[in-house]
Amino acid sequence: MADHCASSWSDLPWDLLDRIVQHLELPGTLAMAAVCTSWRSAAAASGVPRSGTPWLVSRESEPLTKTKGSEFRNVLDPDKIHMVSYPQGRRNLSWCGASHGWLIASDELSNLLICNPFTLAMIPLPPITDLECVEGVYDNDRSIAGYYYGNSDKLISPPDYIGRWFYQKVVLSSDPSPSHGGGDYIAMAIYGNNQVSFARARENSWRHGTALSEMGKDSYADCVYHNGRFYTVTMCGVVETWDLNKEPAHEPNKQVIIAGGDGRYRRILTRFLVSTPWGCLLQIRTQRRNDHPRKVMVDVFEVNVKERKLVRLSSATAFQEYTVFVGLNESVCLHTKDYKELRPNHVYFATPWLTQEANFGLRGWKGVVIYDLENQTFEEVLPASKHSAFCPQQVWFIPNI
Amino acid sequence: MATREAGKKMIMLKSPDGMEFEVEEAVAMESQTIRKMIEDDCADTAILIPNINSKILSRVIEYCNKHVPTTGATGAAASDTVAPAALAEDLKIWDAEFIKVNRATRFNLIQAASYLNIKGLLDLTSQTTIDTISDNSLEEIRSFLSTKNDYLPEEEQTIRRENQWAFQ
Repeated sequence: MADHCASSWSDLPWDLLDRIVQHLELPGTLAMAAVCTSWRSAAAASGVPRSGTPWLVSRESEPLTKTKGSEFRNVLDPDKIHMVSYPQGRRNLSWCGASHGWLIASDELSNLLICNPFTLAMIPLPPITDLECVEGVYDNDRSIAGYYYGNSDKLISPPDYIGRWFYQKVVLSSDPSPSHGGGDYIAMAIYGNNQVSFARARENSWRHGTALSEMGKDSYADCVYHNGRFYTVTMCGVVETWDLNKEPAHEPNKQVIIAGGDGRYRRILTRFLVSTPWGCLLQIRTQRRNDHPRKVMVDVFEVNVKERKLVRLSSATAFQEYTVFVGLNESVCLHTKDYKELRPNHVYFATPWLTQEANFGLRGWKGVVIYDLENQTFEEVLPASKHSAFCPQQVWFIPNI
Repeated sequence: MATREAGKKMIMLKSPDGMEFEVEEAVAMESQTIRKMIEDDCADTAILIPNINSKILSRVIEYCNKHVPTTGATGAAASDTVAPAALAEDLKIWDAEFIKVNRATRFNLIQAASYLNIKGLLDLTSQTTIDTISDNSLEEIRSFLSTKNDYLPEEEQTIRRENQWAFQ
């Protein structure tokens, strides 16, 4: 039996602390582990991971669970589920992005919401009805019943439904916390049928990017904030940069960096952009292999913004001592010096929205996998759910440190 | 308990500071630890409860008295006329009042509940601690519980960086 002569809460026996850990939600267990060294040891013994390590967050709440919230799994122990309730009054959030230590949700009305899952702070973005392609349909009591989307006259309802598939990616330019420079952030969203919009903090409207009709069959694959500007990459590899420094009335200014892409457009699964801590903009290209159409090949390029060219990087050294997390989240590059358990020069993939049907159901890619760049091998972390082959299941969430 | 039924077996509990408490066996057996002693016939005269002073022990007995399944004179009358749900609600209110104690007492109660293995009291004391941790910032938790922040300065810096959200 444990020592019962403890004189301070710090000395509380581990079996009691373990009991408390088992009843806390994730933010509580992480806070508890930070209180003092003995609580940290007790928390570690109870399986509480380090706060700053990456988390996999279930994109939607399990319909059968009683508590309305998200399942968090730590990258180092993905079998263990930690619950995190939604902020008070929220019952139906669907995560559609993660950026700078915040998650981005589509809420009960399919409006976007920046949300810190640990502090439960919430910052609303301008409503979905402000986007050109969406029109709200109202009840007699003036509440939203659903939406019309594009040219279709089919009512999309209930109101939370469109947000579950409409947003492809949402990223932020900076941490929106008031403690981080007053939260002067810009949000960028790729949504609908290949559209792009931006919203500055405290502006109550979306600024629409150029319509993409000229792109033909191409579509946006990813976006990232890098060195003061947003960048986008298309499935064909066209890289563009977006400038918002003009007055609100102005349309965002777009410049093409890599016009012709990399000449590859067949068998492309998707592409990711990564802003690295050493100041480079990298592109990760994933495609089905020619010789093995069921297998995936990963290549890394540097986007040289100044000279407007692509430079292929050696797989063995592309990320050096860093590791990179991609998926629905804004790509994040972490140094393995700070995260000793993570593997250097590996890509941690969580499946994003795949826009080309040919790519659905590809083995060795769906779910969550770790890719060894040097040896070109995949290791499965979490299998894809059989019930939902088309939607992403998890989003990477890296607490802002 | 003024109106004890005749023939009800009584048990003597002794605290290390020399106080003695005479309680009904059923009340004492709310504690699984004491139950085991009684069942193993180790409790002929009096049971010494180590590490739990008389002040805490009297609170623990108060809790057990309230929570023992009522078959006594007052209890029987109550359960005949009051619906079980209302009784449970009444207990909940009583618990909420009972646990309104300072953190030192609560700390002693949680340990006593653990040692004596009284599930309800352990749940109650743990829950208030869980609430304290869930509802407060890290600094507040540290201050409410007077835990010793024994991190080295550089460790504390890392903790602060990694748990910035918890300091808000």
